Amino acid sequence: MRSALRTVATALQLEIERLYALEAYLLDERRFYDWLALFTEDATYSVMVREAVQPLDAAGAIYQYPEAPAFDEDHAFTTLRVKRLETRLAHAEQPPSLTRHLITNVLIHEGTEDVIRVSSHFQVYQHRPGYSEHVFYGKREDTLHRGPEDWRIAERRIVLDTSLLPRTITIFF
Amino acid sequence: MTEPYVDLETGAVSRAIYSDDAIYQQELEGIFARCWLVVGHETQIPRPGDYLASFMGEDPVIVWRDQAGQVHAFLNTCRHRGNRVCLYERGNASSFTCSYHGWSYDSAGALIGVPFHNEAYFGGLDRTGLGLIEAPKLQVYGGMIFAAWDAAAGSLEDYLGEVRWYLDHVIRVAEDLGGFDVLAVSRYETAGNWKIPAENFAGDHYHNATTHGSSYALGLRRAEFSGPQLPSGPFEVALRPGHGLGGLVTGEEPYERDLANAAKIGPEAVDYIRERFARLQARQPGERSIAYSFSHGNIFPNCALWGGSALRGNGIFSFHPRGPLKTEVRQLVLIPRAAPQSVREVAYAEMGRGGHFASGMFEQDDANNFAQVTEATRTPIARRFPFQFGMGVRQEGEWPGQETWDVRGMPGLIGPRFSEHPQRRFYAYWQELVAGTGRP
Repeated sequence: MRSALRTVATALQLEIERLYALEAYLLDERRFYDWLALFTEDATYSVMVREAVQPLDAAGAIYQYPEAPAFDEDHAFTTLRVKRLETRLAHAEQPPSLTRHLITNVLIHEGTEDVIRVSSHFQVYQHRPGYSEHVFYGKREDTLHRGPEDWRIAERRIVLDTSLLPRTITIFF
Repeated sequence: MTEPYVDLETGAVSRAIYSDDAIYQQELEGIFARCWLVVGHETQIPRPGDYLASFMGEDPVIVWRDQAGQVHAFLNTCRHRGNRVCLYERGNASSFTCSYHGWSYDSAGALIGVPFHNEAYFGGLDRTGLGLIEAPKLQVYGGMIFAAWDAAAGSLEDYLGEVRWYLDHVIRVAEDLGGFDVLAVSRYETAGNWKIPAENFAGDHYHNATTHGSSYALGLRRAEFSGPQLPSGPFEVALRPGHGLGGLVTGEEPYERDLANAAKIGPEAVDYIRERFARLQARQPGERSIAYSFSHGNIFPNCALWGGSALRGNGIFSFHPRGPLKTEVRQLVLIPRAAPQSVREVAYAEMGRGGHFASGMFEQDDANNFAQVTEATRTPIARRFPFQFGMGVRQEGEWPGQETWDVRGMPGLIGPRFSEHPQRRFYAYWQELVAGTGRP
């Protein structure tokens, strides 16, 4: 892993971090169609949670938390989620949530000229005026494809650091 | 409790029952410590030693299949000084050892280990009677694991009452299709009292058009609430003693609709729908009408059933109370083993996308309403004004056009899609149990 990190060009690191900063900006400014345009047409978007499953081995290894799928969707459905907000009938988002996405610890793990795998950590604050406040922590594991002009997110895998979701999921990560 | 919180004549229900701490304690004692409760499904613990951490009311229980294959529900607490003994959400174990002083228990609940027994107790501790605290009643019915704390509770069959027919004749058709596989699970916590989702699933077709308006606007669901009430349903059904179900559709009409949708998936999906219908007919022989499916239901107190089209999974949703103002929702979705892969994918997408998972479009808007409703029960002026469950109270049993309904031989009080009689049944039973005048 360390050798892979040494070979990542600073310019590439900066480019990806800027992409994520832009993405967070678009989400928090509620420019959801601009956000969707950061993904490839066949992108997948999945959310995992943790599950405390008892390990079979008694001792001798650091426990690794199993992940359990919460949901996974294709880009057409993610787009439908945005369209839903436009119906003004999405009651769980009336009034809309205020969000703030903080993206850190961007690590480019491996890849080629055109495909890279990137992990990042996030803290996402969600506030519904007069209703509730929640903070989500987790990591994102992305596969990015280099398009003709810029990098696109082809696969987004979100792993939330909880085994019990603190509320229904009405926002994007 | 002397105050009548539920008025069956008018359908008025006091707001206090959703947020009052004293009433909540009465519920924990009168309902959750007495009734048969669903604690899991056999598919979750198929092998000896498999266990699942679950809840009976607020009490945490270990649902554990012992080495002989028998399923038990144990309170998750050490008999010595109370520490939790099972620390994981699920797994396989032949014993649990308490992390405080090391008492250990086997999968039948027996206390099998006491450290320093000779020095500390001079070899004299009587281990019998110090096993894990076990729910005295446990029975598996149609794969669902029911348990009860009241040793004097009546039989599970009596408790299920009129919902039993619908389990036997509709849900359990899966047993003729290879049994159930787990399709998906989901878990989340939500603001809101547990009764609101429970009685919603018991029979609230009325909310669909408004609450789930976005899903219909996007064309994700067929609007069953538009057009006239048809002889094939959907119907809402009140079931003794305190259960309910709805979105009940009967006869060949829903079957033809599933066939048409299956044809868009592939020939294997069509074969599956045909096979299911043949098995369904075999389970419902004679001159009776055919109960094809129902989209929602509730086994009193807090176990909802979700389904509908045979191209969906069978959901078992538990609403575990976390105080009067909060609920932990656990969703298990099963699918008959005979369902081909293509049908499973469609069914999974329905849950994760349009449906009832924590991210589902239906679930989001339901949970949002349930939280807001609960919030509106806390304050003194609001509590002067009861909720209205009076829809159809004067028409009950004499609904216009009911002679045309294709429901011959089906038990329960069967009403039209828009009526609150299943909720009145839920709250009538709730009141009997909380007041101590009724028994499970």
